[in-house]
Amino acid sequence: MGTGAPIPMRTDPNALLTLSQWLSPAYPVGAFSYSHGLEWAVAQGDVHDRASFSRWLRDILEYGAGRSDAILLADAYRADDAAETDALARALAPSRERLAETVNQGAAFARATAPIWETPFEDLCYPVAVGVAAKFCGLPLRDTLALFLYAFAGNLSSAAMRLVPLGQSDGQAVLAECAPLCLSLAEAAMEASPDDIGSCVLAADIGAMKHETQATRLFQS
Amino acid sequence: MTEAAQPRAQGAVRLGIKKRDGSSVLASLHQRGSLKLLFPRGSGDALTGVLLNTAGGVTGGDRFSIAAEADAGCHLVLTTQAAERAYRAQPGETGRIDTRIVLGTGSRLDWLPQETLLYDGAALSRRLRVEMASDARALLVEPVILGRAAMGETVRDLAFHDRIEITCDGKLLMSDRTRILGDAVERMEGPAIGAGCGAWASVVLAAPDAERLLAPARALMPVTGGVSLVRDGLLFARLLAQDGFTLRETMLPLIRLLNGGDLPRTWMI
Repeated sequence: MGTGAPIPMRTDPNALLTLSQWLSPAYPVGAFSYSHGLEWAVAQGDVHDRASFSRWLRDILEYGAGRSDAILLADAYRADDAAETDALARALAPSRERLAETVNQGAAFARATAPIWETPFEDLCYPVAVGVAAKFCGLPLRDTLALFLYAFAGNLSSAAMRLVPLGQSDGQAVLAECAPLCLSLAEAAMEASPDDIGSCVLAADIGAMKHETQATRLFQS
Repeated sequence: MTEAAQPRAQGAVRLGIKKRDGSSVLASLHQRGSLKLLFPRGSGDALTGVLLNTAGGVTGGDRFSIAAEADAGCHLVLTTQAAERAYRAQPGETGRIDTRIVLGTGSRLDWLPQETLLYDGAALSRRLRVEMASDARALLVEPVILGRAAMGETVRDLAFHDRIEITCDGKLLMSDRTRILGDAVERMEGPAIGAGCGAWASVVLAAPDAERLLAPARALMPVTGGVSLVRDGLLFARLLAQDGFTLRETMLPLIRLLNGGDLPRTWMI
C-alpha cells in the first residue's frame, strides 16, 4: 500500500471469510436475477456455446463493467466521501436495466450488510457500496477487488449455464479460466483512477437495451 | 524525434450565441489556427455552425478545442464540413479534441458532426462535455468508422478514447466512455464488443420530453442497434453497423426523429 492509502476504521480478523460471504451467490443482493444483456445475446445466437460464452465473458470483464466496476470499487474504498464515485457509477450505465442492476444490488447489499457489520447504510451503486463497506471493515482492497470480479464472472457463468445452456462442467471451466484475468484486473484497478474508466462492449450494451422489450425473459437485465 | 513531439496542428473555436428578434445570432466568435467555423445562410431561427478543420485531419500531437455558450432560448446546430480523419500518430503522441458547450435555460443544441474515421495507427482522445440547464435540450451524435473498409484497410493498432459527458444543473447526468486500445479489428470480432462490425454511433437525447420519443426510436432500431430511456429525461442509443454506409441507413432516420427535422445540408452533399 502506498503512503497515501487510507487507514481502515478497524481490522477484521476474519477478512477473507467476510469477503467470501459478501460475494457468495447466496448473499441476498439478487445477483442471480441479472444477466447483463447475456439473455439477449443468447436469444440472438451471438453466444451459443462454451467458446462464444468464454469470449463474451472475458470481454465483459476486461473491456466492460468488470474493469470499470473494479476501478469504481477501488475509488470508493480510497475516497473520504463516495458520493462523487457513486454519481459517476450511475452516469456510466448505458441502459435503464443496467442502471437498475447496479443500483438495486447496491441497495440490497447495504440492507444485508449494515445490520450485521454496522457498515454505513447509504444508497450506493453495487461496486461503490462494496468498496465503502470493505474500507469500513478494514478488509484488504486487493482481495475485495479479486473476489468482487470473480463473483461477477461466477454470476454470469451461472446465467450462461441456464441460458445457453452450458453444462455445469463447461460453465465452471470457463469461470476457472477467468481467475488469472480477475486477478490482473484487480491488480490494475489498485493503480487506476476514475479517469481511466472506459469500455467498448458496444454489442453487450445494445443487448441490454434490446432486453427491455425481449418477449421471453428469465432475467431482469 | 524532438520535432515529432511538437504539436502538428492547433485550432480553437469559441462562440457565444444570443437571441435577437426571435432568432439565434452570434454574440461573439473567436477562431484560431486550423479550425474554422462557417455559417451557411438559411437555417431558420437556429444558428448553424459548420466546423472546418483546415489541417485536413487529426494526427498525434494535434490540439483542437471548441467552446460554445448558448443563451436562454437559443438554438445552436453544430456540424462538420466533412468526415474527420484520424491518421497514424507518431509513437507516444495523441491527438486531442475537446468540446465544451454550455446551454442556458430553454436553449437547444444539435451536435451533429459527420463521421470520424479512425485509420490504422491513430491515437485520438476526444471529450465532449455539455453543461445544460434542466429545461434545455441536447441531441448529441458521434458516429465512428474503423478504417476505410472499401479499401481493405484494417485497423490493427489503435488508441481511441471518446467521452461524452452531460451535466444537468451541475449534476452529472451521463458519462459515455469508449476506450479501444490495440488491435481494433480483433477486438470488434467479440460478441460482446462489435460482433464483427466496423462502424458505430452513440446518440444521446437529453430533454425533458425524452420519454415521448422512446417508442418511435425503438421502432427504428435495427437488430444491431438499441435504445433506452436510461433515466427520466435521458434517451441513449447505440448503433453498430458493418460500415459507414449501413450506419447512415439506420442513423439518419433516428436523427430526423430526435431533432424533429432534417439534417444539416453538409450531410447530404
